[in-house]
Amino acid sequence: MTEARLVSQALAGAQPAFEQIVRRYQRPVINFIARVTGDRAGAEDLAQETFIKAFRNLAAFDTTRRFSSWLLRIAHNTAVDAIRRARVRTVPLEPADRATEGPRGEPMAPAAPDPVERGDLGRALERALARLRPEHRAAIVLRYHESLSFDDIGTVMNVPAATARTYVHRARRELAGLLTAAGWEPTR
Amino acid sequence: MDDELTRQCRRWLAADEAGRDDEADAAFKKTFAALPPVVVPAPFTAGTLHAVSAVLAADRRRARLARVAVVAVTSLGTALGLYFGAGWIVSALSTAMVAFLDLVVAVVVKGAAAADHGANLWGVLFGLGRAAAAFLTEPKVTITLLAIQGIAAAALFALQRLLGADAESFK
Repeated sequence: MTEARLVSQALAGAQPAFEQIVRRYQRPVINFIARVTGDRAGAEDLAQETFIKAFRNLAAFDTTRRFSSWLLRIAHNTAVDAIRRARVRTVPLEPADRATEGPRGEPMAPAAPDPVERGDLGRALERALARLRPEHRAAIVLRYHESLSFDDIGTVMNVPAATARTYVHRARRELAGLLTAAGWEPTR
Repeated sequence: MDDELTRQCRRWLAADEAGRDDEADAAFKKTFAALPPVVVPAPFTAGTLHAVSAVLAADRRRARLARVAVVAVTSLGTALGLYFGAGWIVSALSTAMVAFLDLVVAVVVKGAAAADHGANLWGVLFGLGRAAAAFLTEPKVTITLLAIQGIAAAALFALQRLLGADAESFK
């Protein structure tokens, strides 16, 4: 079923349409919020808040635009608000890896790993991601997880496409620096 | 798979270091798959739908209450206004009516007199303007006109509230 049709059915009050919207978009919304805030448990509450805001304002949605971008925009605003309210701490998603955290829980550059396992790379990437500015984190996740264009990233983050491109570029360079500092060597 | 991710990571780092943006972009996209997945808990969908239903039901209840309150306040206000202000309203309306008739008479008389004396267009307009200003500056007329505008605005607002649910109707 197309996005526009789902939305019009939801506007008419059809419960199955609500359910289908939630099922279709819950994974990207939770993933996006979890990556931006760095708080996996809190991400579920914020994702629920996102869906509630979306359904309350569904009448304001312009059906000529992409619903997923509109929903991610609400998720972005919700996540940014949560960070501003300091309701969530921007720490890495893996709480078990305390050995790499500073005295107040802030992530520190880990010792050089033996890069043979996917888990090592994933955790290193996650720690590096947690050290980026929230807008850079959001841009990276939208680009490389949701595969959005720079135009769509701009729409979600309410910035021009050129700014979205700059965010992605800078964030990737910063991540490269952080991973290199953590012992991940580039190909020579 | 793991070797491939590590290889892509190194390729990305090398490409970024060398300023090869497209290659860095492609290699980083593959490296990004190494991030541990975020799992959606099973009860999330049901919990969210339940929360959405509860919030939408509360919104509908609030909108209904707001409509009832607007109707009640408007009806009560109108009734009280009519009860206490009926005398003044009739007096004001009759004053406005008399002033309006004065205006019509003045316009006819001054227009006829001006035409009789062969006055120019500006003279006629000046006379009519004075008559209209005299009508509008009559205190009771001014207040009546303002009151009519206020009532019209309030009625429009109440109608807007009655036709649409809460904020949706103002978007």
